[in-house]
Amino acid sequence: MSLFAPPAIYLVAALICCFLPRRGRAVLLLAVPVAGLVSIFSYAPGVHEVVQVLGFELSFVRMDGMARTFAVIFSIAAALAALYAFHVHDRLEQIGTLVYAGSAIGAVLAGDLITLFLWWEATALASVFLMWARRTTGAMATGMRYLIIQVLSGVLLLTGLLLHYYDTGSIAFDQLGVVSPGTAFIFVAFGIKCAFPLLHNWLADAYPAGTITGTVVLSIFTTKMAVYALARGYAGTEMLIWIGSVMALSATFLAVIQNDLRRTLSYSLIGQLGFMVVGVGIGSELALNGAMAHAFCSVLYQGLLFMCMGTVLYRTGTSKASELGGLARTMPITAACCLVGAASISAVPLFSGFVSKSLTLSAAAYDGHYFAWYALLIASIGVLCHTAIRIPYTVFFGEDSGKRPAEAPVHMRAAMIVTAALCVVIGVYPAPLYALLPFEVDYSSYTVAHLLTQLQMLAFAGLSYIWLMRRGLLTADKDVMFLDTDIVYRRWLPAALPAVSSSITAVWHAFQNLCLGALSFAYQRVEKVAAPGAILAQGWSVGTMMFVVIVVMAVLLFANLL
Amino acid sequence: MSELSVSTAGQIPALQIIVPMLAAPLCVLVRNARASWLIALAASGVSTVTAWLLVLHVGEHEPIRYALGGWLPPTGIEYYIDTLNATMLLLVSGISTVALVYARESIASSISSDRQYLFYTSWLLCITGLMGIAITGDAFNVFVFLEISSIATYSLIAFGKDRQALIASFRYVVMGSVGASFILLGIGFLYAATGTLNMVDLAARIPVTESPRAVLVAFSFLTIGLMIKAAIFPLHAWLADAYHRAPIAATAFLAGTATKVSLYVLMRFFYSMFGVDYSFGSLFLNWVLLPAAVGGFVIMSLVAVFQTDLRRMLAFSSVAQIGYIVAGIALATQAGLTAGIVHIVNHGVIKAALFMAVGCILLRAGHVHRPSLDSLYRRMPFTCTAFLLAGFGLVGIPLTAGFVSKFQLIQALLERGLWPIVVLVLASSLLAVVYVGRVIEIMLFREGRSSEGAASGGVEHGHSTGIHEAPLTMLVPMYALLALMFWIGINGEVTLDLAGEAARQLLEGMRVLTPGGVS
Amino acid sequence: MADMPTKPIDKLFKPVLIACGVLLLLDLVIDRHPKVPGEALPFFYAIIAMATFVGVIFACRWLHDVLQRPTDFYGADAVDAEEYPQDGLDRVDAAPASASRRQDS
Repeated sequence: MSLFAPPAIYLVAALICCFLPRRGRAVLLLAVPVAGLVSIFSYAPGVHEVVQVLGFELSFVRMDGMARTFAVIFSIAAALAALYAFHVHDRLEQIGTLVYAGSAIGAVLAGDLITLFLWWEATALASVFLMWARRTTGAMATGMRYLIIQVLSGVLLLTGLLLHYYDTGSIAFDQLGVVSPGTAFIFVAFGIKCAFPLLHNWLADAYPAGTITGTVVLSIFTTKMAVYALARGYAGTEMLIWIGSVMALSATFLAVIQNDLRRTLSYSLIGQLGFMVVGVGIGSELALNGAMAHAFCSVLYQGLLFMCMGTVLYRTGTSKASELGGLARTMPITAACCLVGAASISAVPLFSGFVSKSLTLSAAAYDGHYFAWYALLIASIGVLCHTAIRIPYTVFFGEDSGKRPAEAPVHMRAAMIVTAALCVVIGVYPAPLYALLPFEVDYSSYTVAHLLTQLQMLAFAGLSYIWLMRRGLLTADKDVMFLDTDIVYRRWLPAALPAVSSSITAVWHAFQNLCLGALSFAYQRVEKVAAPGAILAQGWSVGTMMFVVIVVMAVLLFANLL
Repeated sequence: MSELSVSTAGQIPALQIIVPMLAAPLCVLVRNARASWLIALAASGVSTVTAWLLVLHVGEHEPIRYALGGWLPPTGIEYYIDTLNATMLLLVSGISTVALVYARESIASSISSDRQYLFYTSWLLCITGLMGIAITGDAFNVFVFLEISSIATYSLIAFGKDRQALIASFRYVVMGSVGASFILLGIGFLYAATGTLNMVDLAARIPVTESPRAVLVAFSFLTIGLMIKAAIFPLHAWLADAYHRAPIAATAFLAGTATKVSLYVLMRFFYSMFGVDYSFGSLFLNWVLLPAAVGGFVIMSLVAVFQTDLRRMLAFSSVAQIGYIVAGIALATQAGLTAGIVHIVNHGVIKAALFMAVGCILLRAGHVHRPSLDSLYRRMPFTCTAFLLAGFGLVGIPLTAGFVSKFQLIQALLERGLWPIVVLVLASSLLAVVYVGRVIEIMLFREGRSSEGAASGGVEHGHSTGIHEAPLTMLVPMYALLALMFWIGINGEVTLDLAGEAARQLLEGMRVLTPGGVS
Repeated sequence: MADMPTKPIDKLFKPVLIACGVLLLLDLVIDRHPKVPGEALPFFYAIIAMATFVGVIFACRWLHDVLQRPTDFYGADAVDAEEYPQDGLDRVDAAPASASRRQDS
């Protein structure tokens, strides 16, 4: 790996970061993604560098279309997140951010499974510091849970990689397909980081536990890296269509009920991943383009929404819907940016979601995956319920909470405005985005039919919201939390553990006693004949020895003469 | 005469035997402890050099066939030297030389100085006999040298300090004589059946003999005789007492060489002379040797675990290790024979080093009663370290010689699909961990208790306050062997290649060529 | 909430209603190129949007009750129960002047 390869830049910068003063670190954090971006574009498209390491052909840089799309959006998002986090002076968090971003870019550039595995684990280890930087008991515990699950994903990946290597003798990271135990392990490893249904809980558990700035960074990398990995290894795997549909649908409901709006956004993120997973599952060029474009846009608008909620948290100390309301009075710019984010995620024409979401939907329709099409349609209406309408309304308009926080600091404002602007630019002029995609795009979002259907959905969803609100049918937000599958390992397993462990201990003790008993019996028996002076260990008399000789001789002669 | 014997260098095979043989009476003549030690050391050293030259020579050329005194077989006696003999010669002379360096201090403390010259005379006769067995190509000559070495060994053992040594020696005399008689009978039957004593001729005539019954009887007698001499389980009983009671320097030497030479004869007779097909094909020698081997290394390892006297523990461990060697030999495959031969060399080195360490302890502490050796490490750090390292070799930890041979043996066993035996090999290695570990645990980590332990052990020298490190002349040879052990362990291929070549020659059988007729 | 009719959202009710009406009319004129079974139904998107929205909200009313737990359900020091650490925040209130001005308007 050359020192100028993008991930190397990040790692070197992280090293330098250890010694820089606070301002220097903030500037470095901002400069590194820019340098990384330059480095990415300095590679000719399609470059595939191979290095021989210990007899393996490792490939640290594979700059084809798919990898480049992700590397570019990761770099842009890293820069925006760095701007947003300009005030942070926690060295640990900054180093974690750099290593995390560098590893994620390294992972999407990896051309073989071993390199992928290394970066894969590095993202897990680096990202946990974005939670631990909060330095509270709760965040520490959550971070540990997060780390265990992330490392588990890495271990599964390693297992799969070894099995796959013994199966095929190849470590190349290309189309794999779920065809063998090895590839199945890898699939599950990717699935964990991609927050597949029932494997998703780490995300909603951990992201709201990050620092204000850390959560913005977290929302960018891990999951999109997993989407990339799926697109690279499992494009066209039909199972993914179903998985993605379930992700998009289930996340809708869980997002609606949450009170902590950063958790709402986390579930909403899972829903957006569902769109991408369906796209990967369909596997056509249009669908893959859709998944890539959607990943690109969602990094921006999801990041923007996390930034807005972060700003609110930064100024008010809470991101709970039950304690917020009417903040637009004093935070107009944040509110405006939040509206842009909302418009983007709900695919309002002229905003980025409008040009990316429809690619996947159209691909599903073209290839006859009608279930997935309906699921995604419902999910995109659901987005309006939990994110696009609910968040701006509850936080910035709606019922006044009496809080009058000041507008966001300049750098946060700048980060939000730039991100919002990018959302609008992509929405208005998607050509550069389409040009970046791995396959040629022969698609236009701005057709009369698309505009009409999209506006109809938006208008009627809005109408429903207003109607439900006037009838008082919306549930009032209360300061509570909601269960998810993490109850299994946070409540049930620990509760069951004493019983299980005591029975295991009992069985083990019985087994131990049995073994010890047998052993001591055997020991005594052997000792009886083998101890000094006993039959086997004493000096035999000549007579005894001769007797043995004669016996052996007899046996031998008998055997030989037979 | 072959071209080889024309030059002075060509007389090396004769020198190999003649030098120690002539040095022995010289010792008697000088009657001086110091001088006779020097003579013995010099003679042994010369033998080592000549053996080394022979190893180098046979590594590059055909096997040497040397007609002693110019008398051609079948009239005269022929020396037949291929890779296997040369290796054995080097092992015997090498260990003898190292052990002699070690012996002076050790012997000086246990044998009165006016009798020491006799000890070194016996020693020289012993190596003469052992090397003679290894070098000769004449079956009857084997017996003669066997007797020389045996008688010398009996007297070496009898030099032991306490009266028990005489009993041990006597038992060994009886058993050794029985074994030798069986061998003599076997050779006699062979002569009757084939009319020759030359091994090469025997190899040619045994398959076409007109009296197969006689050959069969000869085969059985030789098997028994060699099993006794090589201390193969269950005919091993003489060994523990002998090793226990003999002067420890002699034990270190004998443990490394004596039984190994008998194992060499076993291989030479059953592979080169009778041939693989006869021994293992029509007579199922493996069905005799393999159970004996497995029983040996399992049962004797178990017995070793329970021994409290280190010499006895190591003696039983030797029988167990011989079991590994026999297991390799009994497989009758290239890999198995290689394992057996490699382990002959490796175990010779390791066991000699272990007995030397025990000898150092014996010298300073006056006893080697295991429970009374607590915290010995603080007083004799170098000796205890040597014991520890050699113990690693015995257990077969990677990077030691023991690992090379044990690994080769396991491979050879797996090649034949004998994985139950592999399990037993591993289990007995675990027992080796136990018996070596118990000693090390006591030497390194056990505190106090020494006085009662020594008292209950019935050891005359009592408490160990005055114990200090062994003299340099004993430490240096010991560490030289350890260095060799690690060298073999790290460069495993060198010895494996040598042994592999020897095994190949054994499996091919002896070259049926008239000596001197080689052109 | 229904008893607070002066909420800002009420101001939006009429415009949205009118927009919906216009879009329904347009739906009759414009060919939507339907590709998926069912999509060709008149007012398909309007119906599905309202049905989904209302359906999701009602489903979540039930879900809300089932899954709801106090914030210290996993212990008082779980992340849900704790405050965001103060040193990571900058809780500045807006200048009173601007705040009151906005309230007046």
